Amino acid sequence: MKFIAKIVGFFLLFTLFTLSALSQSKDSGDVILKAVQDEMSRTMEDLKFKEFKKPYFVEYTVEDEDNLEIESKYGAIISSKRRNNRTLYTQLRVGDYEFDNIGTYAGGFKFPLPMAIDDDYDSIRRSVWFATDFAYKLAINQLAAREAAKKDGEGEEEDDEDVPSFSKTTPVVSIEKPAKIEIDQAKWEKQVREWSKILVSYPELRESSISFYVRHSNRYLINSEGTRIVKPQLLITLNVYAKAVTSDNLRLTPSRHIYAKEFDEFPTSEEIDKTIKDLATDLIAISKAPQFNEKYIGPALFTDRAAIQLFHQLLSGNLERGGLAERLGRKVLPSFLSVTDDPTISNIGDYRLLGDYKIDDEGVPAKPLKLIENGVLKTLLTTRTPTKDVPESNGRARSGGDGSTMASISNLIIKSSSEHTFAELKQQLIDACKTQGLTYGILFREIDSTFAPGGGQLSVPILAYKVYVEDGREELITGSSVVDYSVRELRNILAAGNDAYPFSILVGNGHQGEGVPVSIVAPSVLVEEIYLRKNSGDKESPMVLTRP
Amino acid sequence: MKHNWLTKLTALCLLTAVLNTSVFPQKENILFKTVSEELNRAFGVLKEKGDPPPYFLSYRITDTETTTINTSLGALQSDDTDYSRILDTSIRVGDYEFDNTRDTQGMGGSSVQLPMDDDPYAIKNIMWVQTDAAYKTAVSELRQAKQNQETTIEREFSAADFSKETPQVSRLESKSINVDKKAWSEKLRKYSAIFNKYPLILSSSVTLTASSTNKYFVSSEKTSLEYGSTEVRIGIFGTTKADDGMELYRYESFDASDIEGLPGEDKIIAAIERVAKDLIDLRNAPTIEPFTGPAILSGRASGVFFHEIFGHRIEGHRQKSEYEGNTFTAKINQPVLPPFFSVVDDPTLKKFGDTELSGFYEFDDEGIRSQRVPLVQNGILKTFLLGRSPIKGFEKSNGHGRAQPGLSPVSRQGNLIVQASKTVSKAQLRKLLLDEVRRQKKTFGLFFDDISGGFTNTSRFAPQAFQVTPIMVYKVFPDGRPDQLVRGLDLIGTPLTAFSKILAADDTPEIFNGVCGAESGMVPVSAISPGVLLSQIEVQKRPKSEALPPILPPPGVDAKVWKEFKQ
Repeated sequence: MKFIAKIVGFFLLFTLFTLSALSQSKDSGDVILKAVQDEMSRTMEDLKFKEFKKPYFVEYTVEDEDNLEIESKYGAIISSKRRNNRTLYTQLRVGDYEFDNIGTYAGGFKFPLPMAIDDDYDSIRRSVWFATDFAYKLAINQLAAREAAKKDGEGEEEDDEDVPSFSKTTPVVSIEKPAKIEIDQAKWEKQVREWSKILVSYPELRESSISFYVRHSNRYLINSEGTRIVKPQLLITLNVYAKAVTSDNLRLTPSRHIYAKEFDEFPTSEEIDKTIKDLATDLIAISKAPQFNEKYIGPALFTDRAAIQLFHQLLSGNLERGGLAERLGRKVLPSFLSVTDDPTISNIGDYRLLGDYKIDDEGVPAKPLKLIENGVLKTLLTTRTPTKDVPESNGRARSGGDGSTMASISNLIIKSSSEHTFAELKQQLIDACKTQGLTYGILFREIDSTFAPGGGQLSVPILAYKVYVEDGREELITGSSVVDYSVRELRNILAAGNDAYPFSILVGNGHQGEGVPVSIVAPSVLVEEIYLRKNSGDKESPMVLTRP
Repeated sequence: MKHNWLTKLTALCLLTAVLNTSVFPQKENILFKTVSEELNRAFGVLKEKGDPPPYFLSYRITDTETTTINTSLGALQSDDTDYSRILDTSIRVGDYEFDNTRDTQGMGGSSVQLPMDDDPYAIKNIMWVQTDAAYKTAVSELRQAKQNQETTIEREFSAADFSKETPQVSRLESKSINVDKKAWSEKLRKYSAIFNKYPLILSSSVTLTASSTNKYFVSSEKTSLEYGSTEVRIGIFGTTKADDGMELYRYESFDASDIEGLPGEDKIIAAIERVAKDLIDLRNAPTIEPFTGPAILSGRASGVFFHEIFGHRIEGHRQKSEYEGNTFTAKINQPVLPPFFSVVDDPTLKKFGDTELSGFYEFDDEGIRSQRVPLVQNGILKTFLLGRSPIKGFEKSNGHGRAQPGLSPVSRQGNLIVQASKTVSKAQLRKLLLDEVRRQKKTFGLFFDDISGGFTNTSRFAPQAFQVTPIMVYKVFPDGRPDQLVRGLDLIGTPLTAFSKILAADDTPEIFNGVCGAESGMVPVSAISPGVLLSQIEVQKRPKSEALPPILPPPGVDAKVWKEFKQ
């Protein structure tokens, strides 16, 4: 009886839908939600192969995207593309929360499938069917392989042996109205061309480019536990790149990045002009500064964009499983520093932070987290993939729009309990140098944000200065490189300032305007010791052909 | 490996008078003028300052706009227009006899995106950076080549590196194509919805691609060319699975040089129904065990057969490489085919009968005017397909240096045309097949009707084998039983043996329009041949997937219908 009732119900829905589709009164959100949910119900009830288990969890993410990508060089548009596409990402789990096919492989595999851009119920539902079938067959194979490996005592890393595969959470329903954006492509092309032309007036720059991305997505998250989320997302990115080559044939490629989550929060054209001009003038100054040919071992002061990159490159990626997890409950920073990750705030002073969100991309509500208190690591950023010490998600699973999620910071606030002014820190730097018999110390105001090397390396300094002990004067240097600097060194921070520099970063493929927007707020810090030497890696031979 | 894959992607080409409107005359002129100016400037400066100076510089620009509208089961899947303007720079140091391409044979290439904007400042600056980098690469290649020459054994088929040619100057009007996207989306939705009638077809699509390509070529030898073309294609694609897991697919396409040249709705709908029916028939067709025996290759199948086993082996640059098989290198003026066969490659041909040919072009990608090349006359090999890489006794290009944007040209096929001076009717060819089946005491022969493509290996590091990938193959029985469709086989062999098995040809040439892939990338080609009877071919089993068909029926499909798929 029950079986028949279900079948009847199914056809009724089907017929009703067909009628409503004809009347064309539904918006995309309704059609997508309904198609995905209907097929998900059938999956959970009927999908089973032979003696294999049924899925216990299935999750669908739909990215309904409308993107604009404009790239320019030397004042001309290289390419300008407006693209509308929908992609379905499927994650299917077989087994149970304790032990399933995915286990602790963070994020898990999400099978991507392009989907109709028409609001066509049948076509969308068919895509869900197709993707689910693929994901299920993969899942039963994965589970069999994991079970065999467990039996043989292989596979998992030792630490993960008894860690459950997936954590439970309360389902969340949060349906916002899908948004449509109006973008005047021609207007933005004109604007980008103008910005790009600014760099043309600096003949010292060998190459330059400006790219502009608008990524809009109505993101749908639907899972078999009852979570249903529809959320419009917008991210506007402007990347400014310039290249100069020094007389020592050293290639310098600094960049500036501007991000906004709303068009009316995007800086004015004049502000952007200034950012672009600043980059050009900074770069020209650096390219003419004396080449650093020495070896320096001694204290260093990081401020502004250098302090941000210090914490971003060494700390923010290590606050999850695998990173500093072993040091939970132990000291990772000096006791005058505390670190909070807070997705619930959207401003600090006048600065618009970009890491705010309410619910993460696994449907878990996000709360502020005290990660490091008085230097001691208290917890980690987690997703629904449990770790040994933090079994539940604290809502840090973020997706850059490519279906995969990773644990990420949101707004990372590094606070100092010491009240030194920058001038005092600089004096401390000078004093420390004196003690060690050095004639100068090192001050960093900017470290490259274009490329973070990872693996215990800081990216190349952009604005680095010698601070002379004798009179405190700052002398810009070029072509230096910090060697062997890892997260451990952060314990050797001697002092921190009462200042707070906010900065936003796109974690992921930032060059294409794709990724998770996060913000970091950090004070200036004085570190006990760095090893600075000549950067001999980024060489470029002189041009034989003269410039046109 | 050279892949002549995919299916009948027909004709790049043929600009009818209607489309010969110059659309952005001013725009294109700025680009052309800018590139010409920068060529003169850069070559002049490098001649003076470069050590060693270059002796040749060329710029090839390929400006393409492509609109693709893809639909499946009545819904729009994507609708995109892509625009690209690719600059390929070729710079040579040394001299025509010995230059930097000696060891590389021009492999690789140096390319960059130029702006969509006709902005001389930006274009010149991008060219500057690109040219300087290409020059430095050329200098280090020449140094390496000279060093290699001193430390290795002299090559067997050594020749000069670059041919001397007469400069070409031609300015044709640029081309563009307009697609009414809304109207076409509507039509394609309707066409693709036809597949809804066939629940056992697992995936399907109907796609319209329309593109315009405008090319510019300037060189330090004073060649200066500007020409364009347009191309439209409707592709129909469907897949299913046999009960043994074998993936089955079928592709049909219609190609024309403009929208008006596409067939009417009736023909398109009929093709969709044919694709669907063939897929269902293939699902039900038996597989075949490895077999050797007589077979007929239809004209289209023969075209691909000759393209692979012959065409790729008479590409000029392969004759001077010690790594290549050199199957025909020393066979000039010797018989290579039965005496009633002749082969030409004729890229100057726009049409064969009523069909537009993919392999048509006016100039090759080295700026040389295309030429009709008689390769085999009455079975005797006469020459090779040549780009500007000369071989001994063949010092000039015959207009076959081709490449896709972003890669350096090598000699490639255009329209390969196989002709037979002694033919029989199709019915007689079939009778000859059955005679041969009986003579060899086989229970059946094979008829290869439609094929999707093929590939071959021409290097010495792997067997000189070829494969033709058929889609529709029939067993033909001598006892009067009807022909039986079979699936799951590939036609394989080696070139010299295969040629020796040719017995007869029919009187109906057929055309395969496709895309051929090799070291210089994908280029559009055609192969034309009559149907051919071979006394012996070999077929092997095709690899098949072990993946199950979908477990649940598609939404809205009755479980009973789905039972047809064995789980």
